Amino acid sequence: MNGAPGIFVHGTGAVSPAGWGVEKLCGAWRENHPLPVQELARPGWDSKLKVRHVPPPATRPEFLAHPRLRRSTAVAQYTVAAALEAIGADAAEIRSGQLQLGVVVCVLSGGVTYSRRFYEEVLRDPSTASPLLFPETVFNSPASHLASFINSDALNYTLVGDGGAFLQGLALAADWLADERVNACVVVGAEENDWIVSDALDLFAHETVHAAGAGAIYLKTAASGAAAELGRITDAFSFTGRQNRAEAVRQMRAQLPACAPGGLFSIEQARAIFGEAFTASAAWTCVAACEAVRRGKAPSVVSVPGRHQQAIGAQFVKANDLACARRDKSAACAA
Amino acid sequence: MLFPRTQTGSRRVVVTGAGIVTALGAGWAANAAGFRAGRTAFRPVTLFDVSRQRAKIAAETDLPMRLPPSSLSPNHAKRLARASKMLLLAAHQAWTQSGWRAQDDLPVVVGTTSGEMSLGETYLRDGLAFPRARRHQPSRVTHYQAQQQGLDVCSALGFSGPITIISNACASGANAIGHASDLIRRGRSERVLAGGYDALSQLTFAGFDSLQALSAAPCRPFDAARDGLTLGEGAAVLALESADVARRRGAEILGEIIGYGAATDTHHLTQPHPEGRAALAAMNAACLCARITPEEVDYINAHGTATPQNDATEAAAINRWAGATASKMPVSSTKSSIGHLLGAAGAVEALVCLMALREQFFPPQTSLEQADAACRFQIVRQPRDGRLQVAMSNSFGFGGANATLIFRRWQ
Amino acid sequence: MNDPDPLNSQIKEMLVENLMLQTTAAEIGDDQPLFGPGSLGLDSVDALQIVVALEKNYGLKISNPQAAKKALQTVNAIAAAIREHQGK
Repeated sequence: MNGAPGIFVHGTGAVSPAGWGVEKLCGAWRENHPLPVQELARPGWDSKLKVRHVPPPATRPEFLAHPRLRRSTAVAQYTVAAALEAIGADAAEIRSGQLQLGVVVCVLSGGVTYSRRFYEEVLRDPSTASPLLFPETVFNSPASHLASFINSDALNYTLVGDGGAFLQGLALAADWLADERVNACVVVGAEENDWIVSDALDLFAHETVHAAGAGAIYLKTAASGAAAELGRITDAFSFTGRQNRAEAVRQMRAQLPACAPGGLFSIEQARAIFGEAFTASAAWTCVAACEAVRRGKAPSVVSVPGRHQQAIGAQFVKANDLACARRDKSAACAA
Repeated sequence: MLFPRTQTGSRRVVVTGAGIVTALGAGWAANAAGFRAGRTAFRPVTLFDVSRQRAKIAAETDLPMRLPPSSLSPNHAKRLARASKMLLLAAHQAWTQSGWRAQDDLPVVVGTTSGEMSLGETYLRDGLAFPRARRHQPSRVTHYQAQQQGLDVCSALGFSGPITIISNACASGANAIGHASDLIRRGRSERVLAGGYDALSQLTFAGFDSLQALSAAPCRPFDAARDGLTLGEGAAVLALESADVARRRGAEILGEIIGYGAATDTHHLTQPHPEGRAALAAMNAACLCARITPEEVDYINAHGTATPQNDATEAAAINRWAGATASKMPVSSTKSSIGHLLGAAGAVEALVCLMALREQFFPPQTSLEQADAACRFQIVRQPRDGRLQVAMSNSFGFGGANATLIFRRWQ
Repeated sequence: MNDPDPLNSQIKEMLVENLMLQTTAAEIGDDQPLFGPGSLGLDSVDALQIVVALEKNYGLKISNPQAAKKALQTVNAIAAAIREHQGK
């Protein structure tokens, strides 16, 4: 087999300020208008922070009845909802153990509301701080709840970083699949709202609206039935002393192929429509790109210039474009 | 390009640099001597008020006043807090020992559970008490985030490269080193700077205390009367490299990583499944990767937190994994010396295995009084030299993160 | 059904709020086991949270796990522990 196998997108999922589900996300993406903003109070200020919450679901998701989800944070619930939507019908095979599912959850703030609430209780009196909150504050609790809910005991990483961490997660999943360490892999980017994050964001980008939600992409190595194929992920160009943000973004763009007009999906669009949800914004951008390819549009290019860590980009192509090219190349070698 | 990857095949992964900071001190020599003697390094907590906590002790590190020379501006260096300093100290030691030259695509993979939590705490305290006093808040936001600590390592040592932060609770450090070894084994990188770090914080200390998981006295892993863990803090960083490159440039090789396995325990968010199936799966996967059998393992550095559940579960898993060889298998948890370092534990305990292999000793648990009957293996209780070729390190954590690393002595 | 005891109802509200239960207070039986198979399905973290809530709401300190296991079997058992603490 020459070179790594193809990596195919078999499902996408999204929970966003537009609502629960990929259709809601893609509908808002196509309209390309900033969604309505809500106000969020913070202690000591009369002026309110501008945020975009995830609207309550029309019907209560049945996964919330699972004992593991009873005490879970919003970011964990968004993670499970987006992942289940992306995994779709394969959930049964995963639960029965026939399909080994790798899990990669990418976060920036993680379970920040419980962390903030728990530390406020500690400041009042450590001896009566709520034990129920603390375990849920751990960065990998969303990934743990997802694994428990879907009965997956395989590789399970939580990555922390800015929006680009989501694309690092896709590359990690592609490695695990190429090495046959898992049969399938779901990659999630998730963020929840809390005044302390919106307050912090306000310090750096006053006009930016903090948003919450999650996006998920489900990958396998089988081509048949795939919505799109992973064409490329650029290197992750970090912003360091040797290489500042502008230089890193330039190098990332240099590794991205050209694309037809309307084929570029940038995290900046996601920020304008939905707000700044870091890894979730990057995930929504990739979901929108995959859905465009699934609906027959030209290959889509994703650009994620992060806020303070790295610039990284990707390309998604129609499910059989690369397969033919790979076949021709191998045919050419065989000739 | 992160995808598609064209390399195939398998490469050997060696360690050509190592840095460490724990309550035993800074650097290989101080730590190797401490682990060899089974020294314990607990004291009453001085970093924050514990008057309203059940537990009062921890394994705090004493950080040198000045950081090693680096390319960070003095202003930038001034804003760093404990976790960043520990990581930078360990990274500087590993970098210097490895003899690597700076380049632009050298990956950094580190594990942490809390990043610079203390700055997050200060941000909240001031946000509540003096909401209008905003001057110092931006730098706290920047330096609180885990990826900033990774970027600081690059900028301080003058190189650049992708930063990957793995936060898998108490297995983070082991997952980080395991992931880095995967990158090299598969030819995706020739060199990776990998490790783990965590500093003590009031939130985390109060969290474990609220779960009544902390012992009032220094922790006694695998002891029949054990009643909880003791927190510690620190960092460990390894310079990992493909064996061919290291040999070609004549680098001194400190040891070899031959196996890595990871699995997930879906039983409960904070408690492992009593049978320890995920721990067993992680150990088996690491042995498969290393192509060795339990008979070839000379020492196990257990996760051994000294909580009633973890040690019982881990004992069951080790007994089943070791089978006939269990009765002769030397095992110890060096958490009896330096406590539980959370995100740094997997990295520090990986380095303990490399020290034991390189200097041929078994790290003892000198505070053990009576071993739990569930342990069918030999707990190392007194300092002991010996012949070690292969050492294994277990790291398990909240959320069911289970990881195992296996090392071999480099001849 | 005898008329609901106000302390029991208070305890049930406390359980729903502190433990983020998805049932209503009224659905919790006075003698329904709270832990173990076929019970309300609480676990050790819930037990610790109830101990903290009892201290905050009623000043009742339950120091050791054995005492907690006895006092937290059911809503009635919790009510009894509170009454005993309040010297009723």
